[in-house]
Amino acid sequence: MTISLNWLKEIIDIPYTIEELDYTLTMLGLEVEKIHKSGNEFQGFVIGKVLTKEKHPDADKLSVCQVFDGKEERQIICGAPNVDAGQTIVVALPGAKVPHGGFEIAKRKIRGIESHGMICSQAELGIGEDSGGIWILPDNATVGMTLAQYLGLDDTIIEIGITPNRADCLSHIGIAREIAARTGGILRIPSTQLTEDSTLTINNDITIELHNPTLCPRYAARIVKNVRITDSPLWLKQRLESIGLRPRNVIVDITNLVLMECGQPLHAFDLDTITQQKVIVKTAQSQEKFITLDGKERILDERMLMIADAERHIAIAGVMGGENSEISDSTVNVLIESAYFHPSSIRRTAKILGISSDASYRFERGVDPDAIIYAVNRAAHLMAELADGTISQGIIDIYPTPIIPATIQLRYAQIERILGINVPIETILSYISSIGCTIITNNNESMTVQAPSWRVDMNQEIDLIEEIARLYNYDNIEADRNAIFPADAEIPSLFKSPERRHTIRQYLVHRGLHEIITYSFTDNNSASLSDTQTITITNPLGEEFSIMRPSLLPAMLKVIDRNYRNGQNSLALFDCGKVFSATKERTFIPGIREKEELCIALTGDYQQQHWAEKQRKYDFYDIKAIVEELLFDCLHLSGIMVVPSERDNTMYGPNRMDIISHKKIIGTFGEIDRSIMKKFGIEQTIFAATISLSDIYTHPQKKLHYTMASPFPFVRRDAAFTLAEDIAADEILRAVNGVNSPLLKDANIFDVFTGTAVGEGKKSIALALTFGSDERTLVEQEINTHFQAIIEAVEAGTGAILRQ
Amino acid sequence: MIEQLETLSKELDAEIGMLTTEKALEEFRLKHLVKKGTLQQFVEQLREVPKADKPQVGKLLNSVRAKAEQAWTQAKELLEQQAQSSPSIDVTLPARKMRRGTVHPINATLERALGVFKTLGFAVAEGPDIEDDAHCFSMLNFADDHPARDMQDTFFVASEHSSDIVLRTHTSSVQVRLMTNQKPPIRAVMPGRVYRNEAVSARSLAEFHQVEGLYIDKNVTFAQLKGTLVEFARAMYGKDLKYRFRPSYFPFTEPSAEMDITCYLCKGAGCRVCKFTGWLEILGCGMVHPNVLRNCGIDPEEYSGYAFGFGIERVTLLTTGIDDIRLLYENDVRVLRQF
Repeated sequence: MTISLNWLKEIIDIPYTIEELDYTLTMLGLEVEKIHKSGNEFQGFVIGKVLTKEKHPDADKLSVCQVFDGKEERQIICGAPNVDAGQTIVVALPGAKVPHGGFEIAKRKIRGIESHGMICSQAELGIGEDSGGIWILPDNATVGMTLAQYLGLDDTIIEIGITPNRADCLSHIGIAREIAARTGGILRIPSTQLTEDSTLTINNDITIELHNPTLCPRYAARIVKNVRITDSPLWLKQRLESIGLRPRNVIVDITNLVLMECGQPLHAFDLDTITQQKVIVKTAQSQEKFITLDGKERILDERMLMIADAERHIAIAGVMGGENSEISDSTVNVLIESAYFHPSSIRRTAKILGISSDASYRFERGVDPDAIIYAVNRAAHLMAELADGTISQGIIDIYPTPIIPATIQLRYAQIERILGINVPIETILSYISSIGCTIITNNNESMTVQAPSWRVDMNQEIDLIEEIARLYNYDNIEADRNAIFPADAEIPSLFKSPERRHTIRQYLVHRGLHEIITYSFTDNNSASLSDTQTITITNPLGEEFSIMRPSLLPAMLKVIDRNYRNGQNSLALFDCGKVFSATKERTFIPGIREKEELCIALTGDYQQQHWAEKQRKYDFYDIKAIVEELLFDCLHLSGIMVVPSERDNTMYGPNRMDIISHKKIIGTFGEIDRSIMKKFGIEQTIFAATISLSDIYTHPQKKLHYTMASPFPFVRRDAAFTLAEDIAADEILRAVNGVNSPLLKDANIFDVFTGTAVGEGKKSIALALTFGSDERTLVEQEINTHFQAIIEAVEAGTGAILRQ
Repeated sequence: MIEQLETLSKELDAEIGMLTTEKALEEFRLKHLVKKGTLQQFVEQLREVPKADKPQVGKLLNSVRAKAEQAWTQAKELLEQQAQSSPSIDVTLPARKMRRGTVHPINATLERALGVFKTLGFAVAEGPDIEDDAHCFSMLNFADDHPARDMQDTFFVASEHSSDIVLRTHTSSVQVRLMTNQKPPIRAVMPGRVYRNEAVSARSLAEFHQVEGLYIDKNVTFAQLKGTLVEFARAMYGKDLKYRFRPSYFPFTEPSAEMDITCYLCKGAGCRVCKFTGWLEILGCGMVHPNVLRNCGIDPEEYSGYAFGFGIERVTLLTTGIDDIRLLYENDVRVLRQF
């Protein structure tokens, strides 16, 4: 809502500086978003008086004038035919920028004679059409005054953010009412005094039928005849312009003025375009077409309320008038409509048609049903005064079921219960009265009040408690920092935030990975890489944001690519967030599954190059290490297996493993498939992992309990085997573990190599076997027995041969 | 003999100077200090020295022997000491660092905020991103076809089951989930991602993170709401913080308020960041509307409560100095590494 301070001051005294007004409004809940001074475009223009006028010696059409500008006398050459001594005029001083044309006034010589400024016409000032000569002001204009002051442009414009509940504040009177509640000031409501012409009766010129009182509870009208359609007087134009409205003609301008003054939208019809002198308020028919006054064709539906005459629609009720009945230069008689339309009906219509007008904005928030008559009278008053109209006798007011403001009980104890402050009863009474409520009854414990007609948001006790808080001033409610909070805040497990997320994040960060955050929205191409059924947005910002991501991996690849292009050739990243897919399982929202996923990716150089280390690239065993450490060493999960992947996978190449929990794959890691890389235009190899955190969060943890560290020495024995190259390391370890030696404490593969030394198709694998006991120091003999048994088991199980 | 001893003493002085290696030490020991060594020989010869001369010779012999033994021991200790210390290296060469990772600034802020609320006795709860109209709007007192619904432009989700599936526009939906699943007292903060159908700019994104807070119990007041949020703001933004609460409107709270703090950049003087108001809006809050309590099966005559919510990205921008919200989702490691 844009407010002109000058306008506001006409309605209410404002005993505040601008800063105080800003604070007062803001603390009343009327958030001041912007304050700016207007009239800057007329800097350097002042009211002056022409003292003398002489003909220019060298030019027939020019006059040499001596002009007093309030401070000094200056010589100005003027070319206008109507300039004369004694006139009060507008002087542009040197340095002033002329609004129309934009040139700057400078001291200069015109045909040999100096000129120190310019006497202006209305056209040059951009405030009128008359270019026939200079603008001659009335004699009472004060010489020396700035033009901005003279025009009333010396104004302060305040932008206020009005919350959707405060429809009553969408006008100057509305804002003034709020200020009055704070200051106790009295409103000066603009005049509606009018003289009706008894020879003209409204009922002779129009009948109004209200077919749908639910959608239009109240419909009022007046007729003003024989108006003169002209431009509005300067003050009216200026008033509308100050709050950003474009003046049209005097009739339309009056309806806009009244709207911004009291908040009631009005519509002015050209009475003579209404066929059979009949106005019908009724709903449209489906697929009907109608041309609104902006020239656009609108397609209606059967729930839209229309204003019609005997033959056709003439306006979309409360939203926008029709081209066929609008005020034109030839309009003589005017029908002024002032109505209350049902808020949600207006909102629906405006939304479907994509129109948001000043009228619909107010109707959909709820106008004051009791201001309807005031508004129509105010408009008629102004049309008589400014457009020489004649007001027909009578007013039409169809109001079958009056809208009664809510009657509300306010229990004083509730104020303290909700706000935590003790407000004296007298203060409560004064607050409640100051906002226009009528106190019906009151006693020591409660009062019953009727809300004012303009406060459509006031319906129950809490609404009054809010008013008390607002008027008490939130700043004066002391913060209670002594409340004792229960330490055992509990929530249902279904909604509990998983603690393991923090553990995982910390582990990965300590492991040197950077966390990234990517959008939940993704595009078709990325989504199609996953083989899940996806969730789509019906009104996306664009195709690339049209699907809820089924996987974090595509976004991760894009982040890697972008960073790589920025010259970052060593990247270790992770992302942790929700993924979405269609499901038949029971979930919060039928058909939609949300799961949390972890995505890890490594690419390029392993760590930063160090002078003492041989530089290497990240490889499979790095991602494997991170995953296994995370699952087993960090989270201590039990019953999880990491196995070579056998199931098809669209994202990973053949070098990959699956993470299995309860026979279900809950994650995969390995090298990203080359074909995927090609799709993303990435050249370097990426090792990644995608793990379902939702499954990790619920997976049982190994119980961590103490095992004695053996006080006896352990013994390491190494054994190297030659075996077929295609036998997996796992098979050797399986053979080792198959012996079930109680003395074997650890088996670790510490060397693997191939080459001519071992022969073609073969490889060498070296094992470090650690033997020990918690009860005694082992003797050579038993170590040898167990070591031998293991070697035999490996040879038998894998066809390996012990290297001597 | 005295002469011989003095000659030996001189010899020893020369040799002691050379005792810098294991080998020299050993040779010295074998030559002088063992049973067949030079000094022992003098001891044996001492018997033949005339009695009157014995004290003088004996004294000299003792001092020479002491000198030899002492020098040898000292040299040996020195050599052992030297053997223990390593050869010197260039300590100014770069360290063998393991690279440190980083928590994303958004999550770092989130964890910090949640940490504050945990110390204030709040549990942490989460709910679905994809919601139905009931949880996101209608149970939160958003009337159908009310302009309040325009406060948050909504994304809709295609569903064969229902036409009112939305991406939650605020984490307030989780409030409803908790209130309908739990008897008071309820005291939780609810972090999560929210979605608004708005054009992306340097100041706003179509998806971002929020933290919601809810406390329902007997006799919960607006004054307590202020107290809790002031504690939170002081922990997040500093103890000497100035703040204000001003009236606002949300359909699901009444009275509603917005909390402003003095602009961190201009300290209230007015600048570009605070749009020349001196204040920065940091959160919205209020007393849970009785209609919402009733909708969730909680008797507003018995219980009252407060709720609050704020955006995490905004706080992250304030605390990191990042001036374009989109940068948070670019994941440029050159930026991430800074935190």
